[in-house]
Amino acid sequence: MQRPGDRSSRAKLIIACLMLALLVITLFSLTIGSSNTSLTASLWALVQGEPIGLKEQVILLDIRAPRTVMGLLVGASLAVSGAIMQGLFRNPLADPGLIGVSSGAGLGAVSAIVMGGLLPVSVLNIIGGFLVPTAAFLGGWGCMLILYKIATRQGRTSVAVMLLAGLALSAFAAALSGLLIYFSNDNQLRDLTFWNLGSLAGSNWDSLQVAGPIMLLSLLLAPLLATGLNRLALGEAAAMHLGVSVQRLKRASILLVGLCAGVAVAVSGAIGFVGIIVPHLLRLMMGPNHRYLLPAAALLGAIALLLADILSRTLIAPAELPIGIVMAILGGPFFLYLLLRNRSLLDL
Amino acid sequence: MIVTQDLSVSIQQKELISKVNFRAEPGQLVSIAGPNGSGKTTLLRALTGELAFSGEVIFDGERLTCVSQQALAKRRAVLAQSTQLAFPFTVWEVVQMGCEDHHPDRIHQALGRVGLTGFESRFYQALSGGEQQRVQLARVLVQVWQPVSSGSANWLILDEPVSSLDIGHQIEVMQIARAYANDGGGVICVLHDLNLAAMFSDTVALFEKGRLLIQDSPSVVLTDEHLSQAYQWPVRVNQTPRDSIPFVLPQTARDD
Repeated sequence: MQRPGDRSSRAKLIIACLMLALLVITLFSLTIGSSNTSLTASLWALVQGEPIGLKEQVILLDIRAPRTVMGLLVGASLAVSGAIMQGLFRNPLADPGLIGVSSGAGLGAVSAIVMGGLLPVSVLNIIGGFLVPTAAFLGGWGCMLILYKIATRQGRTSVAVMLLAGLALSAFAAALSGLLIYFSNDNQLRDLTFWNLGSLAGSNWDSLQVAGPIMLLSLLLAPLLATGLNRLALGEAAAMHLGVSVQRLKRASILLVGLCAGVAVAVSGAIGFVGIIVPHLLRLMMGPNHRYLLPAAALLGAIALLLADILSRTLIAPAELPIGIVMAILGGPFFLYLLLRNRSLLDL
Repeated sequence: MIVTQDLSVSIQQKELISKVNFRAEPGQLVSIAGPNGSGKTTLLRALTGELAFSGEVIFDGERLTCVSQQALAKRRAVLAQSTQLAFPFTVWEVVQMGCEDHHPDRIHQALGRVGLTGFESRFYQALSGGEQQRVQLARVLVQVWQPVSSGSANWLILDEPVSSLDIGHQIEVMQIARAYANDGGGVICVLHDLNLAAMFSDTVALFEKGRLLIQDSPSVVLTDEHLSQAYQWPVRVNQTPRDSIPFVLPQTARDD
């Protein structure tokens, strides 16, 4: 039954549609790319257990599949992290950057790219390809922890202090990155630029094996925050009076976002916009109730990222555009369009 | 019963209320009155566990500091002076935040009681201040819907619930609070309007400069002497002719 003012049935319908859309776009992501072999038939054969050619098998299973799954998880993680941060900071423009994840990850990545060569060869042989993502993750996670410590006094985390200290810490991390960039050589500079533009091209089963479970677990835990985040919209005191352990909610949100956004940024570089635009669009469509917003953000985030990734590897095939560029080119104007169309709602 | 023993609250070395011994009993409506900055809201925030305090707050026989927020939320609901909502929720969705499980009938009834039937799909932010305050009251009501549950009273703690309302809605809201007390629940309510306090409360707690001057029935508390002392302004208290309820009239400042 549809009650006035109750948007839950509408939200459920939207979630169902998003699930369907994600399924379709996943199939597209597996079968479309720079290779001109028709993969739809191969995929169908594979599903039915029939043998397929070696080339098709390599493209489908070793290149497209891990990349698609990674894109799906990264998109979902970034969008859900954005939605949680916006709920926590009670501001529709908040994103994981506010808790130091992006700048910390940036610093970690820059350090690894510029100074990784200084590590002993034996160490490099072991962690080799994982060096940059690991450093990025540790940088983001470390920055977030420092910020959380600074903002927490006598068991209470001040969101305002976190916001301001985050600005200071981000600027400092950016300055350190800048310093390292200043001393880097041309090759390192190129690597750095591409890391900053974001890409899923490095995804393989090995990286997915490490990053995938962390993102998946965070995504599965996120809905537990929904009721608390809804009530937090009334303010911290009112949420407390409704029985929310506000401090526990803050800690859980920050740790969760640090984890899943940290991993997402570490494996894909800096991909902007998903975290702000996806929750915003969904709030316009189905309201801000986090019970539906969080799962819907996961689905739409995955869809948006897969779409951008498909475009990034087909637009100038066989070369590849960095996905961060595609996302921003599509996301910027779309976001503006949304803002202009829904001005009346925003001014409320 | 909610009782405080020598309750003091300090923020940044400044004592906001000092050694307050306040009591509120189930089945009663207790008003808290006093000039601006006299400690009314501070007392309320200590009673709800929002502020750290020294002394004791005893909530139904248990020390407040030993009761979890989750347990408290089932026993008492708190209405703030005003509530800024972060995202565009509808009226229905705001009231729904009050009930842990989904109770559509309660939400309908609560909105009816605060006179907002038909407002369900309006956006909270698009309402007037008075309407927003009544939406919040409906949310608070669904949180502790039964005045008495499993043998003990539930509580409404209201901080200036009528401050942004017209007189018709002021009476309507006070009647809701009164009915809650009549049905066995407890109500603690900060009121600036002494005449509403006189009309609806069982006891009035009058604050002056962070101290509880007196807490007793309205006819004892609301006197020329007490009010002139608390408000630092000449005040005359008369009685309504028919039912002899005190009514309060501040004196105009004249040079003669």
